[in-house]
Amino acid sequence: MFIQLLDKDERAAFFDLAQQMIVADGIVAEQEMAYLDRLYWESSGFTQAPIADVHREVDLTVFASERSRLVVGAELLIIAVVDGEYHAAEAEFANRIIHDLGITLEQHETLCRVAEDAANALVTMRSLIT
Amino acid sequence: MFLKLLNQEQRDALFVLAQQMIVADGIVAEQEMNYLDRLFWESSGYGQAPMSDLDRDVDLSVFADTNAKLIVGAELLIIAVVDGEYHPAEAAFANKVIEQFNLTRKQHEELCRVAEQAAAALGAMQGLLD
Repeated sequence: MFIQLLDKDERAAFFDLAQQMIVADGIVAEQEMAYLDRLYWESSGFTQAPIADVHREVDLTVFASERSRLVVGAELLIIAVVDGEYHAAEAEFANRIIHDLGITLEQHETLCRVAEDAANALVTMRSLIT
Repeated sequence: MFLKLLNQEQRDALFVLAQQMIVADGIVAEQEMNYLDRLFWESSGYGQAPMSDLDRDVDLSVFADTNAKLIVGAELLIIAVVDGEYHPAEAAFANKVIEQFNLTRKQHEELCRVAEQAAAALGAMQGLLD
């Protein structure tokens, strides 16, 4: 939803993180992949995100500004909750990245709110669209 | 947020409708313009939407399928509420378009929910990024 605020390098790193988040709980949910494809389409005009190396260590210093770190936090949390489940392994992955990005507890709480509202909007819309 | 499912002709028509919605209440709010730019980026990869001919009559028949009509309804309602105000003139404009689409009352209510949830996410995120 906010990926337009990232530059090209940041987006590439974000797509690796996003796929690591998707596999974090061992379940690749359809809604998670649909959201990933949607982000990829927004970012590139192509409809299907290529599968990244999910074991690659992502260099988080590429997210140099606070804005880009907040965007990454929000998008990862949206992916985590868009299938209606916030699995413990997803929470652990999100918490680690958000901590490593230097996001404060207060910002993290707001990002969780953003993610819940965004995921609800996506799910409601998905249920309308056939 | 949902432009991925529209074709180019439908997107062009939506951008005209979106700008008509933005000026419907006589107030061009910053949040509305930010969302319009976001939609334009989502659609084209460019950051700023060009200004349309606001007096142009939009041929709604380009939105031939129900999914496209639902997406246009959702995006117009998001624009209407993203600044935290749902002005009667904006409601009148949205209702006119949605009526012409022959969407059901239930679909309209669900679209309002989508718009509120999306606007809440966008508003909270904007609050963090400012």
